[in-house]
Formats: sequence, structure tokens, C-alpha cells
Amino acid sequence: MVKITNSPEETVLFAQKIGGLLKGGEVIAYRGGLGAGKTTFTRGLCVGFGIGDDVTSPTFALVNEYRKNGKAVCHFDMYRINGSDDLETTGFYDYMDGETVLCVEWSENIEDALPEGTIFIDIVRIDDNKREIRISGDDRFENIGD
Amino acid sequence: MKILGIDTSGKTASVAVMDGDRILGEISYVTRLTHSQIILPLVKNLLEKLEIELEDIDCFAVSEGPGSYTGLRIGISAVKGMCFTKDVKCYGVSTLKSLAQNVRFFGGIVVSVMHARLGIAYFGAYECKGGKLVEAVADKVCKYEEIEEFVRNSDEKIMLVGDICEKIKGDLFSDLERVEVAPASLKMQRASALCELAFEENDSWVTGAELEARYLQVTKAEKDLGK
Repeated sequence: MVKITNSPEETVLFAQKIGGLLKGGEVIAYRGGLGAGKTTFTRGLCVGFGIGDDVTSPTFALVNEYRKNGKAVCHFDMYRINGSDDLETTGFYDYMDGETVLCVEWSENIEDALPEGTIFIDIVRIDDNKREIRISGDDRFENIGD
Repeated sequence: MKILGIDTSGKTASVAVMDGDRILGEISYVTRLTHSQIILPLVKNLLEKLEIELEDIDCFAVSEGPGSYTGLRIGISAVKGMCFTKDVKCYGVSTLKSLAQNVRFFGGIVVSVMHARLGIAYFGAYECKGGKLVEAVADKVCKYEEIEEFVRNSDEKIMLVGDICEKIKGDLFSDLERVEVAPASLKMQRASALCELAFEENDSWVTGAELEARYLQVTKAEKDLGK
């Protein structure tokens, strides 16, 4: 499905809606360039999922973990990851426990390692405020833009 | 001789202290928190309960792998750190062997199995001879089919241990009565097993600098298997 959002606030609210539908264990793969708003989207998603908004860019750490109320999100940045050997040593596979939601920025770099059932969220910057958000890989979100 | 064991190879955080040939204390529990947050406080907690100082420890036994990358590194780093500051020796134990150690009096072959990836396991097998483990299959990472082949080619009674032991029994051996699953108290990692093995191999202790992780890298193995 495709959704156009006209402001950062709208984008975050939309992300919250998505977050509210998550059950835990999902792998969310973002595709989108610099400044598309992947971290902002993740913040909205985490609020919707129920773990608050204390979300920051994982660019330096490679992965940030957010935990609250028995729920967990692991937020990755694969920008500096080259290939599957590299990925393995980050401990990426340790996190796939069926309960933790994985949010992966720059998922393009680890395409082959993404499991079946991965939810793809493509964010395209139309202008400073507008974003085109495309979600695929899971029927749950088919009508969420309506 | 006092040995402190630390296991962070999986979801269970476990610490234990052995004095001579007796376990003085052990704390083990399954946790969703990262081991980096809890393992050193756990060590401190146990030592306080036992009224033992860190300075009294003669060897640190630790799980060297396979298992969770982050978990293993946390345990090994903690042990290296403690060894460096005290100039004390340590001993790395295969996770698969420490699992088998739990059931080493079984009259047959112990098969240790741990989750690596979908359809791929860490696998090791040991014959039990008078309470000592003799390696039958060296630690490896492989598809489930290889475990099935090994077990079906053997005539022995088999005991499965490790985090996927029930799954392996159900998926591969539901028809084979001679394949059993270890009891609840013995099927997962325990630091006391690390202590026992360090005690047995006390001429193989190493320095903190020599201690290494053995991940059995799945990705590399997959390439070698031509997956």
C-alpha cells in the first residue's frame, strides 16, 4: 500500500498506527535515502507499539535496543555493514527471537539476510514535508492508509 | 582451589563457584535483558552470598562458544578483564560440551544441539565413559539432516540436550524410542558444568590474552556447504 504524508507530524502519526498493529517478532526493513525519515518513523512506530519515544539514530552503535513493558525493539543501521560475514558478527541473528521487533535502516545492504515475512517500508522524500510511504510484505497493513 | 564459572552463551545467565570438588553456589536464570547488564552484578551477588572475595578465585571458567555472538563476547570479555587485573588463569569451554557434561552419566551417547539459524544447528556428540565425556562428533554447525544421519547410523541410546532438544526430538526422532530428551533441570547451560570441566582440565588453563571465542561461524559454514 502507498500513503502520502504532508508533514513530519502526519508521518509520525502514521508510523504510530503501524506500530499499534505489531505483535512482536516482526522484521521491518526500511529502504530510503539519507534524510528520508527512517529514524523519525521508527520513533512513531515505537510509540505505537508501546515502548515510548526514546529512539535515536543507530548509525554509530550499529544497533540500539529499546525495552519497556516487556516489549522490545532493536533498531539497526546497516550503512557500514558489508556482506553477510560482517552482519553475522554484529549479532544480528541473536535478536531474532520471535518477540523482539527488528527495525532495520539501510536494509538494502543486507537484502539476502532478511527472513521471509519481512515487512518492507519504502520512504521517499517528495519535499521537505511530504513523504511517500510504501508498505509491502504483510497484508495487515493493506488498508491502513484509508 | 576455587573456580568461578560464567555462562552467557544463550538466554540463560549463569554463574557458579566451585571449591575443590564441590559446587558452593550457583545462580542461573533465563533473562531477556542483555548479559552485559546483569552478569557482573550476578558474579558480585554470588560472591557476596558465599563470603568469598574475587581475589580468592584461582580460575575463571567461561563458555567459549558456540552460541549468541553478543552473549559470548560479554562473558569472554568479562573473564579477560578479570584475568588481566588479577594475573589469574582462565579456561574456555565448548558450550556443546558443557551441555553434555550435565548428563555425562547417561548410558549412551549425548547429542548437544543448539539453535543457529532456521534449519541449521550447532551440533556435537559425546560418548559417556564412566562419567567422562569422549568426543564422538567434534563441534560443528550443520543442517538438521546431518544430526538425523548420525543418530540413525548409531545403535546407541541417545540423549538430546540444548535449547532445541525438544524440537529435534519432535521433528526428527518422534519414531525412535531410544532417543530421549534431557530432563528440565539438565537440558540448558549451567555455569557449574563449566567449573567441573575446568577442574578436570586444570593443566589446560590459559591466560586472559590467550582466551578466544569459537563462534563456529554459520555464514562461512553455509558457503562451505554450498548452500
